[in-house]
Amino acid sequence: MTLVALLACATSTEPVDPRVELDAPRLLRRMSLDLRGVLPTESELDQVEADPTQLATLRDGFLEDPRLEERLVLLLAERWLTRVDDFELGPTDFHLDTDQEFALEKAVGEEPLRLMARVAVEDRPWTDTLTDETTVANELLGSIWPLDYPEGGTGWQAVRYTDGRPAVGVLATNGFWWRYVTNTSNMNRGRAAAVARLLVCQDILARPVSLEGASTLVDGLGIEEAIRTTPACVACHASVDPLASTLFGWWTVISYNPEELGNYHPEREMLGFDYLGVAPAWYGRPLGGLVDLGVAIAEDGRFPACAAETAAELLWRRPVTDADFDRVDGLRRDFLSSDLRYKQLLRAVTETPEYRVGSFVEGTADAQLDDEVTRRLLPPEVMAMAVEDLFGFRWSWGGYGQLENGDPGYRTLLGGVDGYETTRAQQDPGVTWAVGMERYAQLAATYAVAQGAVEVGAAVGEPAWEDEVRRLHWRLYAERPDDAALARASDFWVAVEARAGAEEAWTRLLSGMLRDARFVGY
Amino acid sequence: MLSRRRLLAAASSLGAGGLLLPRALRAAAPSGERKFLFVYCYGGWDTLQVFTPMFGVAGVDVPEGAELAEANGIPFVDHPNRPSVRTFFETWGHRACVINGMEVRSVTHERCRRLLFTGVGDGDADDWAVTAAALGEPRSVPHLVLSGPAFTSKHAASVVRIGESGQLPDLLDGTALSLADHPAGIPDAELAALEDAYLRAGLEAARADAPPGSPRRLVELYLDALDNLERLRASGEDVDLDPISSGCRRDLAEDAKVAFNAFELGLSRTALAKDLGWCSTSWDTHSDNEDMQGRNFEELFGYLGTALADLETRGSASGGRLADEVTVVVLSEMGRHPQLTGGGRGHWTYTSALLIGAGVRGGQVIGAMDDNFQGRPVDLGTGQLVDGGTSLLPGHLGATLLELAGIDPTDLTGGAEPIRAAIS
Repeated sequence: MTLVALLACATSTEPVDPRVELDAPRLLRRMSLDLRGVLPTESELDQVEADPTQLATLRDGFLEDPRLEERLVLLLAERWLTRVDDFELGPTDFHLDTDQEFALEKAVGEEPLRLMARVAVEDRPWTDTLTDETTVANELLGSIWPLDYPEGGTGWQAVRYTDGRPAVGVLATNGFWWRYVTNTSNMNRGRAAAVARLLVCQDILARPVSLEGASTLVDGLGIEEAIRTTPACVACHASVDPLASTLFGWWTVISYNPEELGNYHPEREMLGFDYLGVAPAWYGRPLGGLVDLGVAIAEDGRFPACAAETAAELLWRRPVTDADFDRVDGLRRDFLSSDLRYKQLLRAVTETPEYRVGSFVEGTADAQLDDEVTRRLLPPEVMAMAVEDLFGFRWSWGGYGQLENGDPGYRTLLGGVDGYETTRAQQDPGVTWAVGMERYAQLAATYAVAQGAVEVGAAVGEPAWEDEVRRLHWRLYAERPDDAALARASDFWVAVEARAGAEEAWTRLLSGMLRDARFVGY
Repeated sequence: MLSRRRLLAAASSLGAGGLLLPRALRAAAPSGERKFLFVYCYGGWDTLQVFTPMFGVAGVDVPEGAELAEANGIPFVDHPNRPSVRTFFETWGHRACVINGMEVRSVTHERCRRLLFTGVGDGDADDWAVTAAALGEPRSVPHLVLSGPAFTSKHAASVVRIGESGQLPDLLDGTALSLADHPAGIPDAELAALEDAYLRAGLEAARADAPPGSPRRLVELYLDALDNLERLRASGEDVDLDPISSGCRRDLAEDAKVAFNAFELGLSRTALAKDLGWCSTSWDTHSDNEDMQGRNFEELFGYLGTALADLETRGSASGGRLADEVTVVVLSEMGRHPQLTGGGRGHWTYTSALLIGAGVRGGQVIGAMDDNFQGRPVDLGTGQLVDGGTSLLPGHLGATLLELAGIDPTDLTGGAEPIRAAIS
């Protein structure tokens, strides 16, 4: 039984917790990075240092920060895996310049994520992600897809498709179906499995598919027969096929064709019955078609439970296990009582000990020390957001965000998720990560010092020098430097200054600080 | 890699020492430890084209113009358009073991890939290559991913990715600093060394204060990564990590050369190269199956032959022959349907694998397909087909590879035992 299934009939107990919470400034840093993708300001850090009870107030402010939407896009991408480096179609298929490749991939992959993030920040019920009549698109998508995107408009806006597709939120976004494709032998079943996994946390594909012992499978008709009559096959196909049958409005008859892939095809909805022999349904609930699917999922008790489990995983930075049952059930109940407001769910997760943990009491079992993530590694896209906020620097090149794609960029090498071959953010630094971080820090520091983002006028021995180093420590790490840290910085700065001058000394010092475990961890 | 001093300190006080201790207790001196090059054929190969001759079986569409052949004790599907396949088995068959009838137990690419490499379809797990690398002797580039997937759980830090278009060399030599709209110059070596020393001093200080669990692990692994990075850089041009294309596809033999260089220098224990097939169109042939699979196999076996010939010329860090230490593992996440549909073949849960080289009992085929194109059970010890034997799964392949790596697979493969008949 999955955790989500268990949650349907939950009772609660409260075990003794060996976790020790992070100190308030560093917990504020974690919350700020998780909820708005930037470091807390010095003023915010000062506030919680003086009065830790301010933490909740500031956190609630982060939930109203306009950057929450952007941050949620990145967070949800780790689960939905739609921000991939390749789709079946590229810029030339739409008569766009080849240097639009990254912009196109990014926009397509983010479309479903933007819709969900918009529902969250507007504090609408999470079920709107399945019933919304609009999507969220930018001008690039507006130029290539059948959308009522305003002429001359820019940026991500709520718009409607004009091709007759039903109002089913993310299930009506091209971006979702471009990521989860199908073919003539799969018949939308893989797509159905993705819907079940992402929205109700039922991983149908986790069940073994074995042909062993079946006697007539060589004949293609034998497979279809087995799907309908062999118990082991029926166990999955009884739920998968009716759901797959619901999705044939997305069926394409010509591969790699912009019109085929860009448009919904209402006239093909009935193909599901022809090809799969079953009528559309959601786990036994008959559906008139895709138009009913969003509501059916929204009314499924597993949907809020899955949202709670997913939010916990994304913010705890680890898989949820059966041992987390009570905690996740508490989140589900809280989510339900808020009428499914995602901001409240985020708020609740940040209140959990699993989120706030910084260390463990002595004697804690090795297994728990191994499994819990008390110090997280900054995902590359979040690091990009944070550093841009700090210094105005973003590693871009020829239209590509170099921390936001895997080729030609460095997203995967820096521990990020590419949606296909890496599906979970890396938590441990390795060689590739270390050299990637080295180069990124060098670029960012060079830019920052050149732009005057660091006070470079002072030299070691002058109060202004120490003030600046103290300020950087506080801002970058949410920690006050001790004498030893100041001495290390001073020795380093002096050594570089003697060889290459003060500006280079500040550049190297800042680069070294950005590479520090206290910056890359949170 | 961890210094002994740091390791002992960690082991004594780290509750999380379980992650670090086994590695530390192994000998640090280079040896003739077995190494592995994994060649992953992305998309699902059609075993009927080479590995599983099914001539005369009702309902199985065999390749037109093909016939049964045998070389070095290995029966295979021979075709005039695929001379490299025949040449390969004639030249290397005595060192090759074909494993047929292994059921991946899924039909979707992503899940099959995970199952094939880890033996489990969901949840976190380290794949066979990552495990062998992480639990082997300490090395600076334990698992070299030239291209393709790496599934990780506890040993993510063991993976060193080149990047799909070879971005790692650009990072190493500083070229990446110019690939930016706001570029930076490559730091003077002396200044870069000072910066590294500053970083390390901070990390050492942090290590002393870090609580057990992931805060300390992060610092420890970061220090390891910096040590390993330094060694990788010191290898200089001995390891040219730039991928090379041949025509409209990546040159697999060149990828193998990079891996062998890393093995020769003692940098790596395992490496992975992804084969995307002819002109990078993948092995996922839902249309034009016969032509595309034929091209893919012809190129694949040509590259394998070139790579193995190259391997024969190399020495190892232990003073022996590299060919005596390297096992080449060729695999694909699924097989294809026995019947053609519109010129293509759908997915099939059964696939094959090819093991070549060190530690492999060559000149044999283990496992087979029955008339329903399902795998036949085998005796893992003898490799003979036996009723009531073991149905082969990826876990058996993984256990075999770990056993070849000198690692007890008992707790790592969900109970699946090695195919000992494949091991010399």
